[in-house]
Amino acid sequence: MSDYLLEVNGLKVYFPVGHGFGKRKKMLKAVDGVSFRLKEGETLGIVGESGCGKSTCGNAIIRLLNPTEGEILFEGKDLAAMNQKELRTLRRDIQMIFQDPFSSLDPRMRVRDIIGEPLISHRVCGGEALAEQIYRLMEAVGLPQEYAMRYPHEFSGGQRQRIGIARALALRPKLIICDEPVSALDVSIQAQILNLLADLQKEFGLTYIFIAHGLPAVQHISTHVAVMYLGKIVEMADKVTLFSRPIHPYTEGLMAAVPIPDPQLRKDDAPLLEGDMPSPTRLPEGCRFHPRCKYCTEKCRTEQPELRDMGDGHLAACHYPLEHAEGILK
Amino acid sequence: MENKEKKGILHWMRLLFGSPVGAVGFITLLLVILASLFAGQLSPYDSAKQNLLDKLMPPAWCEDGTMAHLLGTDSLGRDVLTRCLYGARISLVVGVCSVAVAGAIGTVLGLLSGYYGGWVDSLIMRIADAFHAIPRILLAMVVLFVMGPSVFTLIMVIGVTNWVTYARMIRSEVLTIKEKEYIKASRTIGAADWEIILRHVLPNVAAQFIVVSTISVASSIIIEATMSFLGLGIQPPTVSWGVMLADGRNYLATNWWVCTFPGVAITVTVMGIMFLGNWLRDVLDPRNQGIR
Repeated sequence: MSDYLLEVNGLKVYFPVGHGFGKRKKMLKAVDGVSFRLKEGETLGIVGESGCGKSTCGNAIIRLLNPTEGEILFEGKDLAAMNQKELRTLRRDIQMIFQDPFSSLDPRMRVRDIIGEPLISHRVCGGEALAEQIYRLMEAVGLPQEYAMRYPHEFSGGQRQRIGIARALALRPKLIICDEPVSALDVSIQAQILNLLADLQKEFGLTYIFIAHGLPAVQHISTHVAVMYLGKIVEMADKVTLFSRPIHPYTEGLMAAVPIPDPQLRKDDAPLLEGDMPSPTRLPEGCRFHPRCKYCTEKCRTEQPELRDMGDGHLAACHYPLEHAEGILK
Repeated sequence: MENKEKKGILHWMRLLFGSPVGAVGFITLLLVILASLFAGQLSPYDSAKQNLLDKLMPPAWCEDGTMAHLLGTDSLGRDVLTRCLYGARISLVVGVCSVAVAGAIGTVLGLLSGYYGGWVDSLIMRIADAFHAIPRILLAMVVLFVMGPSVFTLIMVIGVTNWVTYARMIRSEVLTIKEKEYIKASRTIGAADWEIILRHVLPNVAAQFIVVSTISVASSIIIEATMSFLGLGIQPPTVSWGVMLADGRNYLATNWWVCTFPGVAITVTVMGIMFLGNWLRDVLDPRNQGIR
């Protein structure tokens, strides 16, 4: 068995769009050849703008969506090739935390039943043991026991997210995919939830894939960061390397977009991104980022750069990697 | 955790009488049901017994009215009050049972259609379209004519011709619920489709279902009346509110009471059912806990 808990190789998820009589089927390439590896206890942050395929990627790994191509090796077993029956047992090891705490909890179920659902569904325990287990989970995420009989609408967003986290923990998974778990929350609550996730990681020895649309959210929790653009990973490295020395122009742009609280430290010439992401149904020729890249050359317009190692496991897909870009971390 | 669990009859009664709408609906419906059950004890007359000497007597409080016939008599001298009491039996049974039939077929097909989508959805919805294209009364007439009229056939016909309403309504509800993240969460747990449908989808479409079905009890009673009027529904000497309406139609200008009272009976009953339905919908929604 390999040292990696999760190994994703060449994952592709395509959706057919605009089908109908006389029309040629077009493919929306939501995820177009993503590969990464993750060891136990690590956290991979996946960052990118809306529509870059990061959530699709998460959904495909947990098999809420069927991958078009590629391998998803979890403890050496290929999830992509499994049928629903085989998947069911593996579901216990991979769980998900959702973005919207208002739609992720059934409004007609009590907190107790929501958290207990995975345990009941997998017939882990029942009766007294079940109640005991639910209380322990509630305690782990910082919810008082008295809340067990309440309904989701009686809680705030942060508390609802805690309920969602307790549900994800119920089956004692090894890997949790967090799909923008804090982006729907108030800033003050975001920090609480991030700290909770970090604490739980230590306590239960969890591995996370942490999807977010901005760099600050992943900065605290990740050990590794992957930046996605139009269905591909454009840069990937361990956190410190990436944040201190970004080498892809897109990453540089994302970092420039992070707000700086102190006006004295703000720069006038920050390399901010301009324009919008092109539609994934009509991908640009050559490098996918070239229409928005200020360093763009003729080569970038025609030739697609491969993701390659720029030294020390720092991967980037760029013909002209930046040498002196400024990161957030010094 | 345990003490809140016990929801006895007392608990429900307290909820019911805590809400004016629920209480009024419940009491109305209870009275109608009791009156129909004890029709034999409440009235000294036979619902089918004709008495041509006393035909078309007005209600007791009108000129020429007698206390012997509180709500007057019809064109064959039968007591209107007695017939209203007996008629409640058939009307209630047909109204409620046909809604149950339509609701059961429509809910199952609507759930399948909305949840699975794809060709299942197309197939079911095209069948629904076809059903909708045929005039309901015409279809009911043909079936009743071929099968011969009986209460059971009537219930089945009214039910089967009405499933489309439920199927469409449930389908559209399922389509919105299906996209909620709690359904996704349930799938990541590894729950089977039937578990998801029973645990999450069905409870969340219940509110809509209750509202629509209470309204269609009314229309079912009216269709029963139509069929009976056309001679394909309830056959004399059995009496239903629909039959009474049909009988009284000719006398509307001169003897208003003959069809007014069965009409009032239908209105009151339907209102009772709708009030009770509204109350039930509110009570079943945990978000309304404070308002109860």
